[in-house]
Amino acid sequence: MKIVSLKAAAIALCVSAAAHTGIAVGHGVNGSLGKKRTATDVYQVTCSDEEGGTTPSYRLMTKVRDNKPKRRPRVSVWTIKDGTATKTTDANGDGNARYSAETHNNNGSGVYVMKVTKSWRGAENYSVQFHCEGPPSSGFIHTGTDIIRTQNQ
Amino acid sequence: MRPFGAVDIAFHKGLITLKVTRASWTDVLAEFTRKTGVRFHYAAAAPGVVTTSCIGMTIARALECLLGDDTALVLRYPTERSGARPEPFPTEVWVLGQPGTDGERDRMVTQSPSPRAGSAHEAATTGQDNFAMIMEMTASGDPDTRERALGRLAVSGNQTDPATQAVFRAALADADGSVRAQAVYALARGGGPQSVHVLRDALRDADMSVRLMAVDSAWADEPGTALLHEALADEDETVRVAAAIKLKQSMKVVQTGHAAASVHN
Repeated sequence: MKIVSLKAAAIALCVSAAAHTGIAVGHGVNGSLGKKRTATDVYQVTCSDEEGGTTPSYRLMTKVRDNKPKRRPRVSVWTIKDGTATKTTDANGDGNARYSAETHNNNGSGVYVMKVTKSWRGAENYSVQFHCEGPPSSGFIHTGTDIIRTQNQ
Repeated sequence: MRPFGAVDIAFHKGLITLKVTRASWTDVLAEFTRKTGVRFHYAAAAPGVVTTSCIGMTIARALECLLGDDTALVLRYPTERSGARPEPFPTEVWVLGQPGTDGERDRMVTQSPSPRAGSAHEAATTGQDNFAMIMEMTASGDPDTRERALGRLAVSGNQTDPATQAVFRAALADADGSVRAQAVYALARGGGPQSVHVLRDALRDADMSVRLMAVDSAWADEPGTALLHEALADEDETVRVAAAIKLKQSMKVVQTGHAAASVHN
């Protein structure tokens, strides 16, 4: 099973990291959904303590961007953990730089299921940004984040 | 003719059929709660009325159908799940934004009540216990079943087993493009020289879903980069854009690697 993390050297998914600055760490994944209406990509995102620190994860932030070409389907990202699901959709139109609104699933450390879906038949390209974040008292500092893709449609 | 303000919601075996004719959002959500027990939280419903039909849908899909695909939602599920329901069933729903503001509410949407393609839980929990059953599913007469089975096998932990590899290779010649795409995904996951050949052939497939999967599965190495450059000339824009995005991210990976090396040196 392919695991993508800040420590991973060989990656099939895009993980853009600025870990060396110690200020901000960004995680992004680009993918495609096939023609079927039900095509769904599924990832497992594991939130752990702050790398090199002790701050625990408090929540998972996600947002999604519907990339070109301009097609009818709208792209959404869902997160699911411990009885809570969040969903956000890029309603800004295809092919621009804007992402959907951010959503937060506040279920602490552990494994979140992250699903990317679309609203209609037709292939789509997407980008998802996600971060595990610490509690409010930490200023929502970025915490340990690993991702595995478990379904690619 | 159905009267104005009519709200019919049927709830059976976890599936919802909803027919609404010019009813207010408040009335529709109240009836939804009465029939299903799902409680809604929202700041304010949009003024005006809704006319829509959502037939035989799971709860999540019915909410999308009713509220619009682009409505942001937070769903709260009970800790204990009922095995009788086809998917986790929420008890509370927070609608972020205003229900009914996308202006696309006059339509008919239907969905087959058959189970959706492999959920995350299904994919994540696939193990030895149902390995034989999944192998049987790969020979099903239904392309959706074959596709789902291959997707599960790809992440089963048995994907390097010779028998499994033979199934993947046979599926490369499947008549259905979605099945071939899952075979490509499965064979490319491990990387290595064999995956390069699989991806190269897949990029010449007549079905764009297969070519898109080839691009999506390409690794950020030299053969993968060559493949992505080739995909930039694909006849389908989705494939071309996917290839361009992956090439861009490959360059970022290389640059990040160089930057990291310079920091450590």
